[in-house]
Amino acid sequence: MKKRSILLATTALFILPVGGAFGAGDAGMSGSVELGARLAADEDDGAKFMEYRDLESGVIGNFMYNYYRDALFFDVEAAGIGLDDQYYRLEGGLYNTLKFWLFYDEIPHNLSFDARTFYSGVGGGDLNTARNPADESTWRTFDYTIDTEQFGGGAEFLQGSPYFVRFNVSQENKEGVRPLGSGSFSGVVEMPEPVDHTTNNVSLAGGYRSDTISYSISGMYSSFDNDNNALEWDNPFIGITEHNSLAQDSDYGKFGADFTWHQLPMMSTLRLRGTYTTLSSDFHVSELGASIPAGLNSLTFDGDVTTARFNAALFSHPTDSLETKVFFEYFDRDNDSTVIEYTGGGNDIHLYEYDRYNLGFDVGYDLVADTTLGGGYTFEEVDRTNRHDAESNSDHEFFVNVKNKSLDFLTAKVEYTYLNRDTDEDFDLAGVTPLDAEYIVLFVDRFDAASKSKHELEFAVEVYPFRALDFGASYTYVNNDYDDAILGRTEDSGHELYVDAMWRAAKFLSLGGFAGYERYESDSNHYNYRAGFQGQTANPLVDDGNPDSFRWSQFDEEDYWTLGLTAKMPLMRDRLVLSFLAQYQESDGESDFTTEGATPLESIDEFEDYYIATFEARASYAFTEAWALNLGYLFEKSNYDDRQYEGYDLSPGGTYLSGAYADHDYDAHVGYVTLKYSF
Amino acid sequence: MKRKYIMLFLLPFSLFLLSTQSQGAEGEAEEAAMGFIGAETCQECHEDTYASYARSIHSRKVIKGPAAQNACETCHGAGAEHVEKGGGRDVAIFSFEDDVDPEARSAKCLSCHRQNTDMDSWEIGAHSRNEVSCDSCHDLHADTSQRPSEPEVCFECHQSVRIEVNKRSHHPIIEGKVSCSSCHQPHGSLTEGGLKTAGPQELCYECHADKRGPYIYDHPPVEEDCMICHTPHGSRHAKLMKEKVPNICQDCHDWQRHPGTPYDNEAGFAGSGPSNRFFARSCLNCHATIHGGNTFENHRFTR
Repeated sequence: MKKRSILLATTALFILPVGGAFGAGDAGMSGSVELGARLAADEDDGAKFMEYRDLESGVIGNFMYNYYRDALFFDVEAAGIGLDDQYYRLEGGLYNTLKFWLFYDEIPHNLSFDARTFYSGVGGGDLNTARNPADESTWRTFDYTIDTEQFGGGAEFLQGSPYFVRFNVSQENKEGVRPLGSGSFSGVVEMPEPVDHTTNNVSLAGGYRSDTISYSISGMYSSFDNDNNALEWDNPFIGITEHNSLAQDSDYGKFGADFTWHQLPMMSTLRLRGTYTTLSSDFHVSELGASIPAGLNSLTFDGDVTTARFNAALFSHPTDSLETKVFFEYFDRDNDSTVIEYTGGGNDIHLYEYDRYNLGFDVGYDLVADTTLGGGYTFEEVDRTNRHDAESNSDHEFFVNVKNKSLDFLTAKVEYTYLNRDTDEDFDLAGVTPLDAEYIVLFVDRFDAASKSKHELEFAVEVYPFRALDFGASYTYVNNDYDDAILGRTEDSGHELYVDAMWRAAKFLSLGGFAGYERYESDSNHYNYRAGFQGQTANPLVDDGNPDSFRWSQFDEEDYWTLGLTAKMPLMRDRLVLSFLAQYQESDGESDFTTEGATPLESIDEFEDYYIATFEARASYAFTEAWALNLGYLFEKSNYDDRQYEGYDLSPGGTYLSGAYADHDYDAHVGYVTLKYSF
Repeated sequence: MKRKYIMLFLLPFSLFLLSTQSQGAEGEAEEAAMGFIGAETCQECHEDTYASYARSIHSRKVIKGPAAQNACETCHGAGAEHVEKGGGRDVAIFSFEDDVDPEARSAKCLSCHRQNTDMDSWEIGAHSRNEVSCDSCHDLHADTSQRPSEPEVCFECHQSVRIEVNKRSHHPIIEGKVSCSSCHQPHGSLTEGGLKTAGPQELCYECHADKRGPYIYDHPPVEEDCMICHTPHGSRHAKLMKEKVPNICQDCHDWQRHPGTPYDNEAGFAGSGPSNRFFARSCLNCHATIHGGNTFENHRFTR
């Protein structure tokens, strides 16, 4: 067990006698201590099974304590004591006067076990070739994992008055390694990037609250520090030392103001909020280690990004049957960072700025027969600097819905949404001809900001024929049609169907279930070319006569379904509780091609295909009011097939990989037994 | 240039000053306390319900709650007529049954909890406007904490999210390391999606501070919205991607040489023409700093 865990657990246990000292008069105390053992087996030792949790064999324990006396309250929770995913929280205070909290949390993130590399210095910022890259058998083994540790605390002071002050402080530490790919046309290397990040946050807020008015101001400061701002590594292909930039240290500040006014005429509520943020990061070119490009205009980069946002919303309920909402948002991102330029590299176009505003309204009106009719409209405009494919766009979005609950046992809703986006480009292609690569921009439309029309239709129904049964179902269809796209994504659509049910069949049996089916499709057009090479042009609409420049298109389809069943059985007057969970999910994708090129393109059948089967059983037997025995078993099996990982090879031609994300499958069994004492 | 923002911040305070002029309208006479019968009378018929109330925080007299007012009748209304009529479900008594107006149910709670620090956007929020009342999520007679059990309570309505968080790539929600309320404000928010922060980027950077920049070379979609490429709850694709790499990259980047090159079944390790632009992590095998580049020389996110 970790030393820190022992310290935290001991601190938590000290709470008991402290609480006991107050244990007189109008007081109450409750809690539990749970201790046991776990046995785990995973034939494949898959990182995916343990991605965010510690399910290793060993001792397990949890602790909970709640105490109150008059206005004083004190709660402690400890879970997974000593494990890699342990969690502690302490909360207390005086009702209506003061509240404070402390927490400590560990989150593992296991990416891949038993990865391989020929480098020494894994986990540091200097990777040297220590083994023969050409001989995989000499490579060393390591794990791609990142351990996150979060701790902090805060307090809120009310002092029994409408005024309040609240502050929070926290620190997050991330340590470990994650995969970093780098290289060039000479060769590609996947290597361990050191992660040694520390983020400190402090925030303060204060304000006033009453039934009619509330307002507050808040401030926050966050500093991010990376112990390795650059990674130095030996490039085995060209025999030189290379340098990669990693996340740079940065400082973030936020100032905000909120205002709310309730009980205005027509039962209205007005909400206003403004926030202003600054983000800065300053570093010298020497910190990155890389060679200095000729003609560099500045040896330092002073990153400076500010944002301002203002929101307003007015909700009204003018009559019993009518409710309305009008809203407005304005957002502005300014980038005043240093413009870095060097010989042959004019980089002023890379500092991105934009502003956006939207305004709209929505209305809900109660018609006859328990039917509600709703509708609304939103207008949004975005103006961008240094993004010439989408210099601006205007969106018009409308929705209408009808909800009916006239039947005692059924509620139904249907909603239709339509969005029209009109995007303007701003290219300056003076002197650019189809023989230049950049001519292609005239034909590329990027789906995130391109002109499009979107249709969305949603049905939802809830049925409760009798008190013991709830059933819900929903279906959503979404279609995006990128009307003007010649190259890029031209259309995508999705179908989503979900159902769930809960049946309290008897006092000793509750059954639940859920199922889902999703289908996603996307079409895209592309152009294979090398402008100016043997007469090839960057115009996909014209046949340049070269068979090496050709159009091709891709159609992706993905099907996913899942089914889950739960059962809970309180037996022997609730002394024995059995619970079960069974869940299965399967994903099946495919990618098809059409091409005008001479060589046919072969469909990809193994396209994120996977299944995960889970079964969990738990029995809890309370042999006295205070003592209970818990037995549990978890089985989980997963299999993943994808063409990008099938036949994984650490050193295919021109590439050295490390096995990142290659250990997909697992077949795991976990059993545990605990004894729980409740007081 | 930044003066306009100062004006924006002054606006709320101007409105506050205006509002103080109307404070005099408050002070309507309270209803006379007629027809109250006391908790002991309720207990005679509702023994189990009273027992759960007695164990709940609402029964503690020290808080400004039901116990400090009229106990059961604080929330359920005066019970004399209910008793006179012989009792029964919804007979002359306010109940928190599903068929009772959700707005009226929430109003009972808001009479005490209106001044909670996170209730400012309740009326504007999606829950309130979709007839989700406080007791839809909170167990008003709960033994100890009345915090809803997350994510189970949320999944009762948000079917799609339950499916998503169980997918192969997901945030650690089912593992209990991220809760729904880590990101969302269930009591209403001015932000789309009911987020706790003013915008989605602010929220993501709370945990992913290493991605926030600023960068020498921006990747514009990153600076606009993480959700262009990622989905927050869960995905079939690694790294919570909305679409598989390289497909999502090629949907935007159609340039000469490899961005516009087709990578079909033969580009895998086991194919006739393996390509390091396709197998394993595909584009990310080289373009690792895809969230933004910080080398002084432009390496197109490869250094």
